Amino acid sequence: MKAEKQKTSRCSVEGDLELVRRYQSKDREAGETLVKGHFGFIRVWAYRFSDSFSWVAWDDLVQLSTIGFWKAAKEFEVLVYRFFHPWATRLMWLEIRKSPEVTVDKRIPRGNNKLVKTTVEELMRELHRMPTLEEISERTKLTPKQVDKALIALARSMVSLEDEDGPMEIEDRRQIEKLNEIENQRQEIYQLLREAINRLTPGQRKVIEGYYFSEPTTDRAIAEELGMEKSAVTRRRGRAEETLRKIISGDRRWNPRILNSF
Amino acid sequence: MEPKDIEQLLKSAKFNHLSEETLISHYDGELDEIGLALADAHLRLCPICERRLTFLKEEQEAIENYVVTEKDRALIEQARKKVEPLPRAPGGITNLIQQVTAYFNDLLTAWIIPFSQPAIRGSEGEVIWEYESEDGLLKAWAVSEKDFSLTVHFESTELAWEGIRIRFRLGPFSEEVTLEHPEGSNVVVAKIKIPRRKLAKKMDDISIEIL
Repeated sequence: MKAEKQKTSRCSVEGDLELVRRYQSKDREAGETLVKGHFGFIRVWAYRFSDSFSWVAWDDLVQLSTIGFWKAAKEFEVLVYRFFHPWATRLMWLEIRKSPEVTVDKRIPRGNNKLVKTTVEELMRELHRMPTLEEISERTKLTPKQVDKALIALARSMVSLEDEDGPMEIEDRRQIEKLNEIENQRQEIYQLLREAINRLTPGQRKVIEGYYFSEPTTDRAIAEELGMEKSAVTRRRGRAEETLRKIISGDRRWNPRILNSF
Repeated sequence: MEPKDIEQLLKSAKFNHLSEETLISHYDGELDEIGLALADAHLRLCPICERRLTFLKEEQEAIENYVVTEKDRALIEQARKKVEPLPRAPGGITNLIQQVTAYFNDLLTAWIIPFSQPAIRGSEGEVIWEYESEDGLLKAWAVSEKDFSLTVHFESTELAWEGIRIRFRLGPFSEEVTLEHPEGSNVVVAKIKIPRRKLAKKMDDISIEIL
C-alpha cells in the first residue's frame, strides 16, 4: 500500500484543540487525523526518550509513545489548557516511564536535573553568557555527558504542568494548579513589561533594549553605537524607566509579590 | 512600585525561561521587536531553552515532513485499541457487517505488526501467526505448509457471519473467500492458501475487504 502523505502540512495550536475536542466528542476520525498528523512528533519524542532508555527496543518506545499520545488526546482538558503538545509529551513520557521495560534504577537521577537547572541559572547571571558544558560540569561535579543528558531531560520536561524533577502524577491537581498560577503570573508580568516598553518612544526603546536585552550593555557602549553622549543615554534611560514604572504600577495586572519569584 | 523594582524587573527579564507560547511565537516569527529581543537575549544565555527551541524546530519539521507508512497506521491503530477498545455493535445486518469489518481491520493490524519484519518462514505445520479478537469471537492463524506455502485460517463462533465474503490480498496475490458453516459445527470458518511463489518479501502489503 502506498504511504499516506499527511493531509495537513502543519499542525497549529487551534487545529490541535479542535481535533482533540472532536475526538473527545466521539469523533474517531478526528482522533486518527490528530495522531497521524503527529506521528512525526511522536517519533521525534520517542527518539529523545531513547537516549534515556537506551535498553528499550525502538519499536516499543514508539508504541508506548503512541499509546501515551492517544491517552493525551483522550484526557486533555480543552477548557483549561491551550497547548496540547506539552501535555502529549508528558503523557508519552508517563507511558514509557511506567512500562515494565523501564526500571526506575536505570533512569537518569532526578537530582542531577535539578542541580543542573539551578547551576545553569546561577551561571547565566554570573557570566552573562551561555555557560558551557564544561563550566556546568565543573560546578556540579558531574561529567559533561551527565550534564548533557540532564539538559536534554530538562528541555523536554520544562513544559507547563511539570515540576523541576520531571513530570508530576496526574492526580496531583493542587500542585499543578499552584505551579501554573505562579508561572502564569510571571508570564503576565513579562507580557505587561513588553507592552509597556512598546509604549515608549523609539529612542527610549532603543536604549532599554540595548542596555537590558542585548550586547553592549553599558551606557557608554550604547552611546557610541547611537552616536550620542553617554550622559544623554543615561538620562534617556532614566526617563524610560520612570515611564515604565508608571505604566506598570498603574496596571491592574501588576502584583508586587511576584517580584519575589524573580 | 519603587524605581529599583523596575530595574530589577528589567534586569531579570532575560533570565526568565521562555514560555511555550513565546517559543512557538519565536519559531513562527510572530514576536514583536521587544519580545524578539527579550527572547533572543534569553536564548543567548540559556542552554535549556536553546535546546527547547531546537526540539520545537525538530518537532515541526517532523510534523511537516514525516510520511505515515502502512506500518505506522497499523501501530497507531493498535495503540488506539489499547487506550480505547472498540465498542460491540448492536444487532442487525448492517451492524453485523460493521462489526465484522471492525474485526477484520483489527486482524489486519495484528498481521502487519509481526510481518512488517523481514519475511518469516516457519517449518511445516508451524503456526507462525495467531490472532484473537478481544472478545474471543474471531480467531485467525497462519500455518506454514510442507511446500512452504502459507494457509491463513479464519474461525468465528458468530454463526450469523455465515455467507460473508472476504477479499484477501497480499502483494500481487488476491483471493475471495466465503465464511462457511460446516455441518454439525458450532463455528463459521474460511481458509486461504497462499502459494509459496506468491508470498511477498514484504508481508505487510496486505488488505482485507468485506464484499
